[in-house]
Amino acid sequence: MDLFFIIGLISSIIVAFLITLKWLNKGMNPLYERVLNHLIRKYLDERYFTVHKLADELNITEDTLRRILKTLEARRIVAFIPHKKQYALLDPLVFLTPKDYARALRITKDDNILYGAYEAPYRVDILYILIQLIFILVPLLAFFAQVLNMIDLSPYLTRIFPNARPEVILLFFLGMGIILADAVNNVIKGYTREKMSVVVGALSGISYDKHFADELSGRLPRKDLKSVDIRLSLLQKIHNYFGEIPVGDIIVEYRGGKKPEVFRSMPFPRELFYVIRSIMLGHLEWRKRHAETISKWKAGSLPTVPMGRRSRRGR
Amino acid sequence: MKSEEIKFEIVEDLTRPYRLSLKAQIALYVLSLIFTVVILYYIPVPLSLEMKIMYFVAVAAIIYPYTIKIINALSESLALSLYVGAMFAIIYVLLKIYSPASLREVMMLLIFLEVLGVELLNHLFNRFRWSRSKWMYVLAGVLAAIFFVALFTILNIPTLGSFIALIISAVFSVVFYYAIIPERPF
Repeated sequence: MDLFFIIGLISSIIVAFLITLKWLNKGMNPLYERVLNHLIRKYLDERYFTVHKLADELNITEDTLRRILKTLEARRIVAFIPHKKQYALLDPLVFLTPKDYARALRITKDDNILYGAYEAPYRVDILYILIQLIFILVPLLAFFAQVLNMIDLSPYLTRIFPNARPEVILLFFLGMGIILADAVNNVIKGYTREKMSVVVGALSGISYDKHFADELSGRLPRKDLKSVDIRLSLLQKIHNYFGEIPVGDIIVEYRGGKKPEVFRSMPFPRELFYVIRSIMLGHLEWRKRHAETISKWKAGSLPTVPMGRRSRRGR
Repeated sequence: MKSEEIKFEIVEDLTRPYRLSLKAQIALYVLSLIFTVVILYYIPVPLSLEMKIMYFVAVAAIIYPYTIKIINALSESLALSLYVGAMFAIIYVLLKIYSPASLREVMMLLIFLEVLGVELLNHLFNRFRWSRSKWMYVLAGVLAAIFFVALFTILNIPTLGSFIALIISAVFSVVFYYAIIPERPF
C-alpha cells in the first residue's frame, strides 16, 4: 500500500479537525452579538425599527449596521417589511421566508406572529424518498455491478461516449443522478412553500393556506380553539431520529368544526403545540426567556450544546 | 389549566428532545462502522487495502450526519475532518485506478468529483448549505460554469451535435446551480 496515501489521509483529517475546531471556537462576532441582544431585548414585541433609529441606539454607523442586518436577514432573524419600509425582528419560531412573513403580517393585520412554518408531509412520504434514492441508486448499483464484473455495460456505454471507460461513464452518471435528486428535493420544498404555510398569531389565532397560491384563507380564530394535540407516526419518529428537521402532526379541534384540522408534518411540532397552547391561555412571556438562545441557534452562531457539561437551562 | 402550570420546555437545542440520546447515537454510529469493516473484510471480491480504506472513510462520512445529531464545535469539526478525509481518499483512489486517458474522461471525473464534493460538504456541514451569503452565490455560479464547460465537452459528440450539446449542458448547469445554492431546510 502506498505510504503517501495513509500519511496524506491521516494528516488531512487531523489538520481539517484542528482548523475547524479553532474556527468554530472563535464564537460570535461581538458586534453581531450586541445587535442581536439589543433587538431581542427591545424589539421582540415592538418589532419594527429603522436602520437610522437602531444605529442611533447602538451608537454604530449605519453602514456597519446595514451589513449586520443583511447577515441577520439571510439567517431569518430579522426581515425587511416592504409595505412598512422598516425591519422587524422575527419571533424565534418563525421559519417563513421574508416574503411570506410580510404576507402573514399583512393578512393578520400586523399581528404578533409567534410561529410560522410550512407543512412538510413529503419528508415522510415513501414515494418522495424512493424517487430521490432511484436517481442515486441506479447508477451506483450499475457502477458496482460493472466494477465487480457482474454485468458488462461497456458495449452500450462506449457506443454513446467513445474514448471513455464504462466505469468512468457510470461515475459521471452517478454525479448527474445526485444532482437530479437534489434538484427534485429543492423543487418539492419550493412547492410546499408556495402551498402550505401555517402561521400562528398572538391575536389572530391560526392562519393557513388551503390550496396552491392561497393567501392564508384558512382561519382558526383564537377564541374558537378548543384543544390541540401532537401525533407522531412511526415514520415521523424514525425521521426525527435520523432526519434533518423534526416533524410531527398537530391536531387542532375548534368550535363549529365537525372534524379537527390536521397540520401534517409541521417542523418542531412540540414547539408549535406550546405556541398554540400559549395563545389559548394568553401566556406569552416564555418567549422572551428563550428568544436569545433560539435566535442565536437559528443564526448558527451558538453551539447548541456546550462542549463541557450539557446545559440544563430552560428545562 | 392555569397558565402557570405549563412548563415550557423550549431548550437550547430545539431538536434534542426528538433525537436518540447521545450515548445511543454514538453506539449506533460505532456499530455501523464495525458492520462496514466486517462487510469490507469478508466481501468476496479482491479489493486493494487502499480501496477498502476509501470505502470505509466514505461510509463513515455519509452515515455521520444521519446518526450523530448533537451539534457542537467538536462534532462539527469531526464532520468536516471526515469530509476532508473522504474526499482525499476518493480523489486519490479514483485518480490512481482511473487515471484519465482522454479529455472526455477528465471531464467526467471532474463532474463526478465536483458534484460529490459539493453535496458531501452540504450533507456533513449544514452551515454551508444554510448560509445565504453573496459569496455562496458567487461560488455556486463559478462551480456551475465549470460544470457547464465539462458537460459540454462530454456531450459534444457527433450523434448529438454541438448545438444540442450546448442546450443540454446549459439546462443541466441551471439544474446544478439550483441544486447547490444555499437552502434552508424548513
